[in-house]
Amino acid sequence: MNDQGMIQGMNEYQSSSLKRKIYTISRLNSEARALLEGNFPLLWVEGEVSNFVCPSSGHFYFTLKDDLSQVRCAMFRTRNRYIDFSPKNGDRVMARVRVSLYEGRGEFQLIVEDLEAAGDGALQRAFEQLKQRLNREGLFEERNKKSLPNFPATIGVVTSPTGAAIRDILSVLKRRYPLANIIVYPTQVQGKGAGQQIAETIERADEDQTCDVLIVARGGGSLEDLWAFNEEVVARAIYYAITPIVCGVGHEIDFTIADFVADQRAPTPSVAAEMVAPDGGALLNQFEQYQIRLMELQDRCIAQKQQILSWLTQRLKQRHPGQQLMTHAQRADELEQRLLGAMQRFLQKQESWLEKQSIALKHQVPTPKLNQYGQILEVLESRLNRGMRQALNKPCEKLRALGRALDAVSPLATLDRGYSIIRSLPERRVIRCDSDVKAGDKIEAQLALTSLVCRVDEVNPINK
Amino acid sequence: MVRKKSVPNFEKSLEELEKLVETMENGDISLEDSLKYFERGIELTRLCQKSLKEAEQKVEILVGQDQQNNLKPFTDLTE
Repeated sequence: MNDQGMIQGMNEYQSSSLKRKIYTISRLNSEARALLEGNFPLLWVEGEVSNFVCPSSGHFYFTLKDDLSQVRCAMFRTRNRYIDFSPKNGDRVMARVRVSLYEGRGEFQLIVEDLEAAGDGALQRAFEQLKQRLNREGLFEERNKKSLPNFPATIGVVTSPTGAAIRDILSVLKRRYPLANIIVYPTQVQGKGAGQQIAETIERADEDQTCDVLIVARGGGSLEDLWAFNEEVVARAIYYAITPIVCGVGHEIDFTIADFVADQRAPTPSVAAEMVAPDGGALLNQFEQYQIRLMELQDRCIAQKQQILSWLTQRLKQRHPGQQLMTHAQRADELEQRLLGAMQRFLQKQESWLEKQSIALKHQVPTPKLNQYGQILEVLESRLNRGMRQALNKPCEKLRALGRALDAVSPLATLDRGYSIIRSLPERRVIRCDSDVKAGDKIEAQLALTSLVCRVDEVNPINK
Repeated sequence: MVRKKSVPNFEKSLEELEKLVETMENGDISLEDSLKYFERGIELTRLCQKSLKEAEQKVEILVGQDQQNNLKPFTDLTE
């Protein structure tokens, strides 16, 4: 690390940090390195060595590669002095490495802690050849794979009775599914003749169909350690077994021929155990859920029936004659009310009409007129009376005057004085001249108080 | 040499439970039937739960190289 650069970088960083976050290369590389080293565990990689150099410092520098990629490696003298071979270009090696970054060049690199030769390459070639041949033969085909039982009653384990694998498997099965019986089929899993023994053990386990599923397992190890599981005899034993087989050999990265042939491949023995056995806890939980659901449904059913019952009761009540009568009575009442109301409104209408008419009639009453006429009549009567009296008074006066005048000229006075009035009889015509009478006629002589009937004896005109 | 324990058949039990629940969910069943299904369901779940809870794993190992398969209790030799 360059101190000058670091200080300069910090100054730059401080001066412009308010605007944009500018990293120096040093800082970036340093942080990237910390990130890489902090996030990868110590791990194993396998690859082919190339560009191998060993300068006077004694450190090893080389590249590890596979078909597609490569990565720079450094193995410092403090570590490389422990290895018992000197790697050369083209060697396949297994390296235990820390992932890091060479800050000076910004190069991603691996710090190698340990280095092993990864077989002589012949094993690898044999593996590839067998794999291709069996693949062509159809041993890996998906359609030949059997499905695993969901709830195996008996689980067979083909493995070493003393290995780590059996311990892992038993612990998982105990935890997950203690219900299953387990039969361990012991076999040698590495060394000479191991493949043959594994195959025979698989055949024996499959023979009497005691197990519902078989686990073929072995813990992790080198390619050589796992080699028995790459043997053809094992592959065929797995392929021809009637019992479903889960293969859990080595660790995640290890693939064996047995893995390809098995009905299921598990990355580790523990996972193989998980695959064959259901999770008892989850199963318990599932049954619990069913119980809860059943109770809910039962409650719901009862509630439903209750609802139906109360609905029917309600309907029955509605159909009850008493209810109907009441309904009808209510209807009758309502109609009555409406009838009365209508009647009342009709009467009110009539009444108000009548009242209107009567008021109108009152305006037409003759009494005032009669009174008026009576008065006029009275006036007229009195006027008539007065007029009559007046009219009568006048002639009376006149009569009296006339009477008096008449009195004055009355012949009666003359008669009193001795004159008489002669009248012919029976005509009673006044006789004024001789021609009015003849001898022998009966005449009447009227005196003042008496009348005399006389006979004319002679008529003697008087000469004057 | 068949030595299967008398454990409930979980597969069948789960299937039957699913059917019971479905029937009950669809409703339209009599109260008597519903009670019948309910009782059967609870019986099944209890039985399965009981056998799961009380299970003790039996681990055996095959011994003898001949065709006679002899089994004896397995004790973890690595312990």
